[in-house]
This record gives sequence, C-alpha cells and structure tokens, in this order.
Amino acid sequence: MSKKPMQASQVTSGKITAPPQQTDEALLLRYRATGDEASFAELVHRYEGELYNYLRRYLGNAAMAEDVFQGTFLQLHLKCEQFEEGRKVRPWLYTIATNQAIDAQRRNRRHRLVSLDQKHGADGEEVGTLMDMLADGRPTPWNHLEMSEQRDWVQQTVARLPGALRSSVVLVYFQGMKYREAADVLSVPVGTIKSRLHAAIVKLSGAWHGNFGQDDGSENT
Amino acid sequence: MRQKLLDYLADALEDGDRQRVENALQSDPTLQQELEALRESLEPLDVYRGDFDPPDGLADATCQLVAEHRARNETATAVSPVASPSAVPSTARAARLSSPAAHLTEAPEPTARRSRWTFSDLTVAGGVLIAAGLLLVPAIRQSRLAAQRTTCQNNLGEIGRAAIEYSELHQGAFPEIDADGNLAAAGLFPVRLFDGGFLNRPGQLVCPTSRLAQHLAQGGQLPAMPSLDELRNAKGKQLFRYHLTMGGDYAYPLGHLENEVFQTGRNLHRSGFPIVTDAPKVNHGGSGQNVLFEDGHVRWTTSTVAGEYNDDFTVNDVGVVAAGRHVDDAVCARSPVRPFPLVFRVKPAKTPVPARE
Repeated sequence: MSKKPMQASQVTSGKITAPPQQTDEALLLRYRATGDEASFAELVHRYEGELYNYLRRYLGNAAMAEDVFQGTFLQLHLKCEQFEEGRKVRPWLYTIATNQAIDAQRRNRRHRLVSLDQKHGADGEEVGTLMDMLADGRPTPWNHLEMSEQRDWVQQTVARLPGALRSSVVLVYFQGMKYREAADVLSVPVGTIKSRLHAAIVKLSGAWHGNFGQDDGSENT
Repeated sequence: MRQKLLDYLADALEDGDRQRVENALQSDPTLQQELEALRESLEPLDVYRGDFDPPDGLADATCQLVAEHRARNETATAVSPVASPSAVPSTARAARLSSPAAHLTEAPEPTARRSRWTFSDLTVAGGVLIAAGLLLVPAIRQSRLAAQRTTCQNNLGEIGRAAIEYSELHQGAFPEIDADGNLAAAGLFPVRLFDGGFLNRPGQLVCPTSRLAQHLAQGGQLPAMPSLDELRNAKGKQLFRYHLTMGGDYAYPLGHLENEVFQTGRNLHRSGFPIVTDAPKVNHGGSGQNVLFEDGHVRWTTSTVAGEYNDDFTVNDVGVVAAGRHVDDAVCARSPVRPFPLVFRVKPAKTPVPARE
C-alpha cells in the first residue's frame, strides 16, 4: 500500500505567524472575530496539500482542482459567520469543497465526456501521446509509462463513477478518511458511506480486471 | 468479518473495529488469505493513492485572493454587490503568478534609480535583436515543421498502402478489431498489418514531431510490437502496456455500428473518409494533423472535421470517442481506446411490488 495523503496538521509553512498548536476551530473563530489574516493563512496552509489532493482526485483535473481550492477558501471567508461553535472545521471545509467541485463540474459539463483517448498528464496537463510519455528521456521509461498511465486510467475511471460513489471512494479509499468523518462531510449515515465505498471498489476493481484480466505477475517490468 | 476486510484495507475503521479485525486475522489463516487476495485485486488502484503535489504558491495565492476580495468589500460602498465567487477562479491563477505574499506587505513605491541612456541603449539593442528574431526564427521553424510534416505524411502513406493491400486480400475488410476482449483496441490495426507482413518497419508508426521521435534520435528504443498471439495471451499489466504502445503515434479506426451490430471498416474507397490520422491535437504541436483517407491519399488538415461527410473524426456522432454510429461516422482513436469504452451502468431503481389484493 502506498502512503496515505498528508494530513492538514502535517503541513507547515515558515511564513505563518499564528501559533501552530491552535486548533482549526480556534483559528477560524479568531479570524471571524478579529479578521486576523495570519489565522486564516494558517488554515489555508494546513489544508493546502490535503484539500488539493481531494479535489484533484474528485475532479480528475489539476486546473479545476486549483480553482475550486481557491473558491472553497473564498467561501470559507464569506460563510465563516455561519460556522457553529462546537462543530469541526474539517468536515465543514470538505462539504464546502465538495459543493464547489460539483458546481465547477456543472459549469464544465463537457469534461464529463472524456474518454480513455484523452491526453492527461499526472497533473492533467497535456503531455503528448502515450508514446510520448514513454520517450520522456527518463532512465526507466517503461516503468514511468506504466505508472503514470495506470494512474491516469484509475483517474479517468474514478471520474466516470456516479457522483455519490465517487465522493465516498475518494474521501475514504484514496484520501484516507475514516467512515465517520466521511459521513460527516457528505451528511449521510456511516452505513451509506460503507455501502457506497464497497460498490465503488467493486466497480473500479471490476473495470480493471474486466479490461485487462488478472495479472499473473509473470512479466518483469 | 469478511465484510470488514475492505474497510480494514481502506484504513477506514475506528480503532476498536480495527483491533477486532486484526485479532480475527491473527487467529484465522483463511481470513488472512482472503485479505491478501483482496489486497492483490486492489493493487492496480493503489497507484492513485499517492499524493499529488499542489501547485507552488497555491496557499499564498488563495490568501491573496481572499485578502483582495476582503479589501474590495471593505472599501466599497454599502450598495456594492458582493463579487460572484464563480468569477474568481479565472483570475485566481493569474494572481498566483504575481508576488505570492503581496498581501502581507505594502506595495513598494517604484524606485527612482533609473538611467535614461542605459535604458535607451537597451531598448535599441533589444529592438534590433527582436526584429532579427522575428525575421529569422519563424522561417527556420516553418522549414523544419514542413519537413517533419512531409515525413509524417510519408509514414501515413506507407500505412495506407499496407492497409489497402490488406483489404484487397481480405475481401475489402480493413484490419479488424474486436468489440471486447484482448483484441478490442484501436492499436490492433497496425498489429494486424505487421502480423501479416504488410508493414515491417516499426518506425513507420512514429511521427517525427513526437517526443518518442526525440527519444529515438537520442538512441532510445521502440517498444516491441506484440504478435497477435502475444496479445491474445497477455494479461494484466502486460496487456495494458501492449494496448498503450502498439499503435505508436497515430490514431486508428474504431469501427462502427450497423443495425446495432459492431462492424470494422471495409474499404469503400471514399476520398473523404479518414482511416488513420495523427494523434489528434497532439502531434505537430497541436497545429493540425495529417489524415489518411480511405482511397489512400494523405492530406494535412487543421481541423478535426474533415472530408465530404463534414464529420469530426475524433468522436462519433454523439460526441463520444467510441465506435461510429453508422457506416459514414468515422472515429479514429489512439492505441488503447476500445470501440465501446467503459461505462458504468447505474442499476435501475427497484420497481415496487404491487400490493396483493
């Protein structure tokens, strides 16, 4: 298994002046009460990696993820008055991000018509043909090709999942959230998240093995 | 407990549940085997679990964006409407390109330390250089691009001759691909040509403008072209790799539906019907593509809508990269694309059982 995505609390920045030990909730409440920009900046930096990764997986597109990330924090600024004391910031932030992502996809409906023929780099930028990627001059082009193309395949297949399954599998399987946290984010019961995750994994795994069969592990890469 | 193995692998369980699964695993070898089997079957997905690096300065740009929005609202009159968040993203990335921490400091006053003469000298010299560049660079570039385009046209011409020869020996049929299975990929087209001896030089599948061509120029090697038998017997990653690479830099026909039955193309000698093209919008810097038509002629086009049918040859009539909807609906796609791409079907809602009387 590869490592889990970094958590917000692991992200640090030398530019931030707010005390690092403050909770997300304390930072948001301080920003709301005093307009302290450093508190807001600390929150943004804490979630930079984690939330970008979530959006990147959910949307399957680097540029859209970047835009939605910024839109999410703008919404956090605009809606911080609505934050209820005693609640957690993290699920609330993910809820905002998910809603922003859904809106962004509605505005970019044509992106849903992607096929496996689309050009995608690891960051959603156009990188040339698959053969181009093979020839990018790295010492082990085969391995790089396989890894990046396999990643693209999963990305595109995840993007084809129905929205409810997609958000569950991205949050739990790829993003590393517990069922309870994901249920908070999506405002559904834990059992619903579980069944959605199971359904999504069955579809993804079935799609891979349906397309390429079971790897017998006999070839060397 | 089996139901929880996936939850355990996904690391989605709370501590108590997780501990219970681990205890069960320790005492139940069958459960351990099931866990390993599940882990193995999910392995292809794990490549997507690693981190994506956020773009440099994303957090700083976001702070700047919010600070600017806040400043605008604070200075605006009470009747000023709040800016629409949906209008923000297009400017947000642009903001990131400027000084990322600009919101943390006052904007500096421009300094007065300037030299008019030095500036003028630089301006004149720069102007001369730019003028020379404007004259020379495009000419050189155009010449190189034209040569590459011609080489690419020659490649397509050879593929076209091979395909026509193939069709003449196969009752008019072009190399066929299956609707499903190991032989269901656009790149099977050249595999059949090589397998039958109609093509013999893998370099014919390389567009000189691609990065693969650069790779070859630097002493790199082409991936091996699989035989039909190798393709039939390949599984998993090996099959994935064959599908990715066997078609080279070009796009091949995906076949079409005829009375809802999948058919691969037949040579009807249509002068406006594309059969093989450059990978659309990729080769030649995306400026256009060479297109091989069914009658064997090759033409450079800047649009993906070509031929007498006024048809976009990169998608079918419903806008999907998949088999054409009828015999005149040409769709050319890169090597790994299947005629019927994966679509998840949502299970229909259960119909309520009518109450018994």
